[in-house]
Amino acid sequence: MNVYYVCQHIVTSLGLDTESNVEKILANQSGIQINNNPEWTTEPTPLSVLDREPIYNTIQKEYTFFEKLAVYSIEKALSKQNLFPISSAETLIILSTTKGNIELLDTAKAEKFEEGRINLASSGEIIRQHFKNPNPVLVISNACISGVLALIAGMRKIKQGHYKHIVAVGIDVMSHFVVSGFQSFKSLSPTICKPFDAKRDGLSLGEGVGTILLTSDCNLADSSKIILVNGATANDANHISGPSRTAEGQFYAMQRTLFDWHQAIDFISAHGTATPYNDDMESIAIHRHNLNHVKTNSFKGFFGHTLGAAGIIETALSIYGLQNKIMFGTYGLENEGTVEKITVLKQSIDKEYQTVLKLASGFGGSNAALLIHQLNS
Amino acid sequence: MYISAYSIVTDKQLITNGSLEFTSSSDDAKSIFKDIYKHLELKYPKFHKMDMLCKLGFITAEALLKNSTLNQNYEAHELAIVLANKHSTIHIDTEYYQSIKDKENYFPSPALFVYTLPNIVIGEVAIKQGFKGEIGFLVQEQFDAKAIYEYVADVFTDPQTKACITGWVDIDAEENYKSVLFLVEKVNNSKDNITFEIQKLIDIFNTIQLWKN
Repeated sequence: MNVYYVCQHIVTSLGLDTESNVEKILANQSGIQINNNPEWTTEPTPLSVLDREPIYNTIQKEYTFFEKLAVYSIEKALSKQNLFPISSAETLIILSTTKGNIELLDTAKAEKFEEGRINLASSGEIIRQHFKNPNPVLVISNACISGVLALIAGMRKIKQGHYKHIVAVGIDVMSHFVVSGFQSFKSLSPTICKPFDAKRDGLSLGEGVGTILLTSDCNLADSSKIILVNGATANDANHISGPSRTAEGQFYAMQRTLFDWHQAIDFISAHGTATPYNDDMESIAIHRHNLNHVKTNSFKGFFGHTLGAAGIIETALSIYGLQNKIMFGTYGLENEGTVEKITVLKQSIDKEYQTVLKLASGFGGSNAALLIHQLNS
Repeated sequence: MYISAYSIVTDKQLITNGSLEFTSSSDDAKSIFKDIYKHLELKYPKFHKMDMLCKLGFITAEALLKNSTLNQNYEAHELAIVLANKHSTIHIDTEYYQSIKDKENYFPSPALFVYTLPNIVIGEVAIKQGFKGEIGFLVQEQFDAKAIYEYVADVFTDPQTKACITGWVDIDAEENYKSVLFLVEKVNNSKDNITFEIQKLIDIFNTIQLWKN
């Protein structure tokens, strides 16, 4: 059974929809800027933050910003395919996030809401009720692979016949909680992050939302006939806060995803956080699969690391690239410098292609890979 | 798919495969988890650095795999871990938040922050037990056996997956805790195995309540 792509919507600091993001990416602009907002940071730090007003104004219900982003993005995605049966028992909504409503630890913010709203399942229930869907929302919180994991889980649920349609929505919002944590790890770059660059010195944090709709019904599918072929996750079983030096987990995640598809891969959308260890690890995983020659990018320089949203936002953009014959480049990269030599695209290029491999990795030794393919028309 | 073992930590008790194995005489969760750690005769210094969620998952997984020959029967990448809970990492989130909320008393610590991701308990169990296969952490309003069953069944569609630790590991900000882990295997290798079904997960999860009645 094929798992078809239906449509998408994303919000990052670059724009309120996929098209405005693409426009800025093709103009090689970054949404990461030095930020002094005491709400988020005690020292000037490059962050990629949203223009919140349009979202607050559009969704007027008593939801948190996190929940408003989810509802906003799902509604925008649904407007592109109004036959998608969002309220059907055959549709499952999957929510991916790392920290959700963590800002509600602040009692001044929490008092506007009922007790327990900080629990992720409460937000899932808000989203379920908003769209009148009968199924409990599946909430996935697995660090920075959450978004790719939501797509893998959704793909498997359609293949197994548990559900016919999937809404995968990934969200994380900026918070002092997360910014201070990454600062304590000394993993934030003092400038806009530089993925795969020889002088890369840390990541830039971002916030955003991505929604991808999937279906088994080819009548709902986008005319581009893009399918999710396969996907897998794997654990390094090595260290809780650093990637494996041998890329053990990412190697196995790719192996279980690719089978005999190695020759078909045209493009890799890497995790590419721009920390020294992550990008080296990915180069090793790509090298161990002999994919060094395959054009690869990271989106992190454009809108930062959006944590639980990253896998969905970046997969959505990769699918846009497949549809519109664009391979996206890597903002911030000047001179490649990873342990293994791979082929990272600096500038976006026009190119027709069919097959993308999406990678993600994160704390806890988490790794994920997802294979996306455009069927011959 | 078959349940070949299960273990429960709740109400100061450790229960494995339906038998009460140990009862702690301590009162606070931290001491209770340490008592169970000692009962299991573990020597793993990293345990003492873990947050409460990881400690809870770690000791329950140790009890689950105590007499297991899993690592002899399977390759590391054939072994999966899929866990779920209600409160994600609220216990350590609250502790970490106390360290950053006051600008005059501001000490964010990476050793705390890393535990504010719920899947770290999967990572800690994977490191100790040598599991390198599929992973997933779900957050639910309450123990949702159907969602866990379906998720694990989906993970077994990966042809390399042969066994999976799954279940519930939860601790809230007030240190109310409960952990129920199942070892699920693809093939039936023992007459004592229980068929992996939604109702069986519910029955075992509610074992404690059944005993109290």
